[in-house]
Amino acid sequence: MSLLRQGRAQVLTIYIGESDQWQGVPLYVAIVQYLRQHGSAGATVIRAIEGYGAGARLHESGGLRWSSDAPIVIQVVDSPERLRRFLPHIQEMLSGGLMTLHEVEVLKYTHARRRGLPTKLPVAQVMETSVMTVDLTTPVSTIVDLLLAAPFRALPVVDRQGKLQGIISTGDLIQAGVLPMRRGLVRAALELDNTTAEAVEMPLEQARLSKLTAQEIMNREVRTVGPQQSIREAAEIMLQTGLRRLPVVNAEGILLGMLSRADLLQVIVTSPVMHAQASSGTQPLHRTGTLTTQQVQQQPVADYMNTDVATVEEQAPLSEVIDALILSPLKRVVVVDRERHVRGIISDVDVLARIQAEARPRLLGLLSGWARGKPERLPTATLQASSGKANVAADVMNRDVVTVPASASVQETIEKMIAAQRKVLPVLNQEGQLVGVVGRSDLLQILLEG
Amino acid sequence: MTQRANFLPVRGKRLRIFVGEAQEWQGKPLYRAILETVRQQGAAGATVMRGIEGFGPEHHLSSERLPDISANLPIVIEVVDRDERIDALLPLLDHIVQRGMISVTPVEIVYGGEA
Repeated sequence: MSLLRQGRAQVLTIYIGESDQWQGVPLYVAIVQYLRQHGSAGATVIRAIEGYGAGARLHESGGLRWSSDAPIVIQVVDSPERLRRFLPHIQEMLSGGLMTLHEVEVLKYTHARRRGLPTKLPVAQVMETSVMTVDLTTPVSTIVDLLLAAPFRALPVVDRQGKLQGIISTGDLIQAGVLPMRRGLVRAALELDNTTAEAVEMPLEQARLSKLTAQEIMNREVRTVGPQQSIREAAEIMLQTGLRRLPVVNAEGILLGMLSRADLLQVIVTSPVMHAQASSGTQPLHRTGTLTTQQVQQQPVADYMNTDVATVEEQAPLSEVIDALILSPLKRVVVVDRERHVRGIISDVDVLARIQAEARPRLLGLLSGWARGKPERLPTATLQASSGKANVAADVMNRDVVTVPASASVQETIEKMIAAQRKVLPVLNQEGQLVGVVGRSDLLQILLEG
Repeated sequence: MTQRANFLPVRGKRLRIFVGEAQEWQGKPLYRAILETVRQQGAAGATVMRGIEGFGPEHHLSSERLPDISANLPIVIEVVDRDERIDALLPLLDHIVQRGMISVTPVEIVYGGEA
């Protein structure tokens, strides 16, 4: 089974007849079996008492007939991606009937009665099973386009038997000289003015002409996990190696799915929390009740944050901002006033988007060097001396800062990150002063303690 | 419920609660406890359906076809009401539904909905 995340999901509703058959078994049984075997989050079959449908045949239960053909309704609530994967198979099984799909919000989805974090949960229950793969001979041009467009950041390379041969992340593309810099920057640059877009387009065009294939640029030394390994072990590997995603393979080396840092953080959010009165785990919809038993995910974020934050003042020159960005491990600079109140936050994308167009190609060159592990190339006067508008930190900062109080729980922090789609959050004390920043790896630590 | 010739559509929500028939809350069947809670809160109505087969978060298949595992057939409880009533129900339901799933969909109530 795969777990369902709280939040947006879809309901697939299937209307069939009870006497419908599929390869010798009742159709609804076959559908439930298929869904179960393929890791659906859940399904419920309901027998209605009367009705009629596409076949224009009156479904009726009871009465004088022994062989009942009551209408059957199957409801499957699952993630849209998984449902899309199931649909063609279910369609194949149907001969008549009706299927509808609509959006729902899952407010609650709890698994077993557990206390605290389910750190022993097998990876198989959390991994993403709908994974795009490439084969050994897929051209680099295809891979570049796939990775630029896709929501995922790594493509597993498999052979014809589905055995994992290697993995290609955007980092590998940068190392191979195919991608000039990290994907977020490439995407941002392509949206900006023509000169900036061209500065990125050129290396991309060259990449598309490249005769290289997946097997020549893939990383062959892949850290993998087995489907039955615990999520705690997976978190340990990620934290030790700095990897953000791990392929999940079985004993034969067949790729079963991918496990990302985001998947693990999601578990922390959806795992049960103790209620004041309740004796078993549950996930509160509104965190209003007082919690008598402190769970590890309820520990304050202050225990996990980095206190070593890169900060600049609003009037700091851009060169100083970029120096600070390059040295910051989380690649964010927080802009503060004298009292350490947060005024804004700056990422490389913010600088690129807000500096004057003429300085952008120069900045891209700099960041491209940085991406290849050459952070020693510090900016020169070209950036600060221009007569344009952007000269100081305040000109390039993002003023829409999402922060968390130091007293917020780890769980609340992750929820906030997911909801606001931010990877790094500044942490504030009661006076609203900056005391640290927290990134996703920091929060993953709690899986080791749960 | 009052009948009107022209009913003005009201924005509401449909709540679906998926639990097991054998689950209990304070010594009585959970689905009945849910039903009572919903009624005490003044919801316009609720419908309880017993499924004949299914599986959920714990991956246990229950089916009426197999006598040994039929003790915990799936139960679906549907409650349709105005947004504010459904919103008020959620914390209470969250408390008593320890295991299972709660989903919500916006609906337009084109008739009924008044307690």
